[in-house]
Amino acid sequence: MIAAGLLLLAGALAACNNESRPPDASVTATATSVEVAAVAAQPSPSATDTATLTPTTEPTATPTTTPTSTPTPTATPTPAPQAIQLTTGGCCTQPFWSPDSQQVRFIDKPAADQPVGIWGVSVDAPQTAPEFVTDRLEESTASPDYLIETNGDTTVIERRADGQRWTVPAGGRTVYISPDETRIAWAVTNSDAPSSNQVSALWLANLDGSDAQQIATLPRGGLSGWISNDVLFISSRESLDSRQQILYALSVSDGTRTELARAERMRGQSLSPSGAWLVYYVTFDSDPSKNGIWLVSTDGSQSMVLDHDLFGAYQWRNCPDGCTPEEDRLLMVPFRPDATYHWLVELNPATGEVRQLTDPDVTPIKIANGDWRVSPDGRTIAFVESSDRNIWLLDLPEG
Amino acid sequence: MKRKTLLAQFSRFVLLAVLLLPANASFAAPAEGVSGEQASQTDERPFILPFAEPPGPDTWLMAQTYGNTVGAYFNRNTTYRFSGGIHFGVDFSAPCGTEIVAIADGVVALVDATAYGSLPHNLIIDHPQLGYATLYGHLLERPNLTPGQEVKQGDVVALSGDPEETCFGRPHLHLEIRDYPGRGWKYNPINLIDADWDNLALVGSFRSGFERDLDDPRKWQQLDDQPPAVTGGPILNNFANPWPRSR
Repeated sequence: MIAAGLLLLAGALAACNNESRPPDASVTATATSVEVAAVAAQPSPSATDTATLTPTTEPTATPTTTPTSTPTPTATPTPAPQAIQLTTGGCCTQPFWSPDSQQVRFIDKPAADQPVGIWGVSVDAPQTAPEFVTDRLEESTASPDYLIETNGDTTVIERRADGQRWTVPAGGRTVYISPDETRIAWAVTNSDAPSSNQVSALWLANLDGSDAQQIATLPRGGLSGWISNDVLFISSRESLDSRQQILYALSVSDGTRTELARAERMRGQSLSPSGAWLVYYVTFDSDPSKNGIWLVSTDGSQSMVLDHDLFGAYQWRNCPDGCTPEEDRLLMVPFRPDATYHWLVELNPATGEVRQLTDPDVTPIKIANGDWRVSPDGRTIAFVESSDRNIWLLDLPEG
Repeated sequence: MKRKTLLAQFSRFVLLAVLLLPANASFAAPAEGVSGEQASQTDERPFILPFAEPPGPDTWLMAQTYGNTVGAYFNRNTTYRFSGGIHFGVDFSAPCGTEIVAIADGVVALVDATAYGSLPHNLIIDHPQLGYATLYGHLLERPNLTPGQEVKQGDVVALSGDPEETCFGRPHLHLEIRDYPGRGWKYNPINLIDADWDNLALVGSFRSGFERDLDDPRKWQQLDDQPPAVTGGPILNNFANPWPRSR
């Protein structure tokens, strides 16, 4: 009844609106590009509006190995993993993990008289009342060692070990801390410009914010993070009107760029835990053989495109004590538009071996809105179950 | 006359309903003139996806969803300011020239109606029997259709394009479902198109999260729980306590 009334209210308002509404002349839609390297919004320090390559750019080798396809997975693990409901009451979305993999966390305000913040449920106590963790939401994106706060035009780094805080000149943008914790990098994009004219200025500074300098200009590009202590992972085009996107490994010491991938539409780039592999996907290329999920070694020596049967969602599987290149594994949920339930497979990029981890007939899970997250120890995934919108757990078979 | 009478009868009830509506209630409302029975029918998702081909890396994929997306939030005062600050349609990425089909039986209402946006070319089809109109935006070329022409569900009606008109910039279809005949309200296509949206969301390495109102952090966080928007209406996502605060 309420819904029916609302339907009519909407109609009534629409009729009123029709008499006085302004034209939609300014209304345009934007393409989703959230997977491309996160870049910041505020123009300070300013990005240039011109499409230029930095003087240090030296196009280097593209992957030379012949792309290979992967076999179709067949094996079903024994015993079959079982999903466990962790939260109740349709709670919540965008789960993430505590660093020790013992608690699944989420942003919530469970009741009107309770605080908004990060709440968590222990993996050992499913369906118990969530515990309040902190009101500092930056914890949801924090690294084990540092918190990065962005607020307005200010970026503050906090070191967990001693609580020391300092402001860095990133102007409210997020920064990426190098693995050896000596430097930070960030990108400044003229986001107010149409996306076809957006340029990112790439900045580098010491961890304390000193000695900040612009090191590159990236037409329609951005920064995705660090590959190693000296190498950044960036995306760019040769110019604003270039048809192809390029993924590079950029040495911050000498400015050389190693081209990792080049295609018309690349999305979803993500580095493996060891930093040895890069995954991304290509769609709608004028050369259809380029479409699909790609794996490229970050030294530029190997590349592999996966069978279309494996196209879908993916995340790297972490290792309890950090992964070596040989231990890197890619978890995937194949894309099937008519699937009743979802299942996981695991790929070893070094060998191309694919292993099916769950069987939808035995473990009937369905992930809502692509909302899943691998635990830091790589042993479990947390996901929002489509049927009840609660967070569930699924222990993964050992590697 | 019947619809006006019905509207009047429900006016008091509707005000009460609004007051009682939970903040996180999800709904997709058909437009003026739709009876309660018809509204019930629309709950069954009367529309189909706008492509004849199945989705995939060679054909089309879901891109930005409808509603309180993070991307829309940060453009709430610019690109989306005339429609409540939210993304008021669903974007489907697709190569230029992909055939687009009518998502329900209808009558061509407008071709290249620039006042409705989504340039360089658009198409609006009215579906009076359902109480909706649909808009297909960022088309490659002016659709070869004439206002008043009838179309059937599944008929090819247009070719997808790119708002940048390069076909490598941001090629995609922007699809809206609006009310009929007003066309000022925009509704969540997720609740009206017969598709498995959780399956369509399983691409790549990211989760398409929504902007949070920290005063009510569960509000508008699901694909199918998003508010309708009206042209010229107030900004819906101008949250006092937003998260994330920056991109």
